[in-house]
Amino acid sequence: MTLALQLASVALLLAAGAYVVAVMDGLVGAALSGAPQPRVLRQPLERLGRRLVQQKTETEKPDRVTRVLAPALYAALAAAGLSVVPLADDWAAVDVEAGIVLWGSVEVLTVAAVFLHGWSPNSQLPLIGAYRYVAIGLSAMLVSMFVLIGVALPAQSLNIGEIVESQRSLWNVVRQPLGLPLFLVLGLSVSLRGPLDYADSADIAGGTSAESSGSERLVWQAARSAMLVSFAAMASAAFLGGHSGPWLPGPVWLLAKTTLLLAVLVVLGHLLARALPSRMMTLMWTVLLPLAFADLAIAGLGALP
Amino acid sequence: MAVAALTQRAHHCAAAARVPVYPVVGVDARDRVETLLSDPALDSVASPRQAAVLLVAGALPSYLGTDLKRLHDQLPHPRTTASWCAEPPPIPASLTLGNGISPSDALVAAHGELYLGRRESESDLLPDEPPAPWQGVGEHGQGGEGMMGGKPFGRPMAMTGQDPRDALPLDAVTVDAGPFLSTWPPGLKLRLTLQGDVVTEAALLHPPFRQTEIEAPFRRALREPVAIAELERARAAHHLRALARFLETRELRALRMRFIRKADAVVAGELRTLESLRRYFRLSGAALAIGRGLGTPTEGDCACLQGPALRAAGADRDARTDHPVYRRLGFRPVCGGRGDTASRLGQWLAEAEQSLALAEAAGDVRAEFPDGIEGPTGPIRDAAGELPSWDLESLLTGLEWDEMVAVLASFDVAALRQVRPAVPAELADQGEHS
Repeated sequence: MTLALQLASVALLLAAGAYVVAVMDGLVGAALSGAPQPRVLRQPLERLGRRLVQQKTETEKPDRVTRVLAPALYAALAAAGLSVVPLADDWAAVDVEAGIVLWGSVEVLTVAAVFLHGWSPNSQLPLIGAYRYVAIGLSAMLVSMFVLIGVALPAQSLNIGEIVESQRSLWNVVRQPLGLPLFLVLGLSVSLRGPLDYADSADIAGGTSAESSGSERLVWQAARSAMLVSFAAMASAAFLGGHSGPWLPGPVWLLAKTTLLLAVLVVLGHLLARALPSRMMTLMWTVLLPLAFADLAIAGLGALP
Repeated sequence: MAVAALTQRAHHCAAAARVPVYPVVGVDARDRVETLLSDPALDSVASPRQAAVLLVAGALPSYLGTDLKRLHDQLPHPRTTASWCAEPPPIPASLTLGNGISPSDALVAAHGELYLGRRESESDLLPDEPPAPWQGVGEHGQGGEGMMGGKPFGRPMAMTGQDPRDALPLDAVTVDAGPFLSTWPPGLKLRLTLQGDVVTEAALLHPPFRQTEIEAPFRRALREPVAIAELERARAAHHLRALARFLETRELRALRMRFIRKADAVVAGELRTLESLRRYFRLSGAALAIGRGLGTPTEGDCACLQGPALRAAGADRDARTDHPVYRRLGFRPVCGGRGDTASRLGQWLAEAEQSLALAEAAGDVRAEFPDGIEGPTGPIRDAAGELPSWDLESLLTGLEWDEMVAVLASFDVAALRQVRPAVPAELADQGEHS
């Protein structure tokens, strides 16, 4: 398969996934608010139309290079993350030996992308969002690293395909019950969603996005959704057996599991309150991090021969 | 050809989209605007950069005209301004709502026209230039020390200052926040010195606008008998709306909408219990998210507060206690909180539930309150004396931005208008009747 085809398939999956996320957001929002939403299926396309034709606003003395690069970097990271997830036996867009390490670097660079997005407009509220996200985003990432080492242990490999293979008899979500819930925290964090949205939140008028409109906003928002899709695919490979399952072809299983996780993440995002940054920090370091250690211990004990 | 067709397609899509509205709320307009924006065809956005329509509702003082113009110019093209009950509007408005056609239909129509090119996008109201010229003072010309500090082009630059928390010197920058910042009480303008997101100094520049729409039945009850059920439903609705605003600061937009819609249902007498709202409130962890001990005024300041905020600090003062009708209904004030932010939120929820129960128990009973009545934010009397003021500035000093927003959302506007330094009389007057 040519590289172009591989890239196209990843881009297509992310675009379709971002659309599904937008529809889910509409449905869950409508259910929770009690206000029926008209045209839930069309609304994402209408928003897309607006952002395509709306003016892209300029701020005073922005950092022009990073203003363009940050959303592009964020979208590229989502694509890189998805590209290492195998869609079927022996078929990932990019089959790297240490796929889990590549995903780890996607997490780290996401923090950089979000920071640059808040830095570039040269404006107060986006900068607050940027700094705040670095503090919380790094803590969430730290927790997830231990969880990921946990799933690599039974597979005795850092390759995502091998990790999926190691779950033939028992999914990691059962073998390491703490893992998936802890990993979901990262999913909300890398996509700046709900309780972990410290970058683009309402209290700072949209945070790192407070100054962006038009096509710039389009790319940024699409990248947020794409990152959520990428995360959900990775989580289903790491904890729900990925593409493996009886009767149906592999890609269908992966899609089904990813969609289920997306639904869970969207509901959590709309339902849970964002804690004050200091409280979230305390929660991360004194509760979630020790839980991640416990998860790693459980994984280690389970992997003993 | 293909590009032109696609562009046209995009314009048609955009014209059909939900209308992104940035609301500017003036005197006595907040409840109305919130109810309007709970229409699914409209979308209340957090930043003017995301909006296509600037909605100016209620009377606004003319001296905030420059702030409003600056806000207007931040909307991306195509954009339009709609005024609603704001005669005369402080900035030119292409659209005036409330002339027969429903406001939401008018906004949807105008938004469609805007994207189809049938309505002209508004041009800037202020010249696109820095607020002050380059000053050419100091080593690098910006007027600070070295490369830091100063006010080049009228924009403050960060300057190293002592951090109040861990003695790490960080850059401090002074900015004005408000008066039309989303999730803030409308009209509130503070001059904040920030180190990162920590408020090291806060000064009140403009108090929030009066919001007394919900008090109408209470004011009527000073003169004529009014159904207890009507009063208590209005009180419950006020508290639910207050909680909704807090939920927005916790990123819970859908739940906020649910609370606003339920508040309207309460006023209409369509809702008898708040059990499901309480369940959602608890499930969301909104109280856990802020924890205990945040935003507790000093004992002296607590004593200056009124209504639910006072009772949330443990006082059992409630004008309803002494009224024979309420006594017959077995009324006892809810009180006994710790006086912090979480207590004030819990107080609103508990009082809203109590009010609905009272409304049920009261049936058709009507009563008059010539000596004064307990309103949703404190006692309402004909001859209201001067209220003691309290110190908001010290309460906010030392908080992180998000904490400050949560604390502000836990006070009603009446309490925030009662703060030191007292509002100069001429400002207050202009604020009320522009």
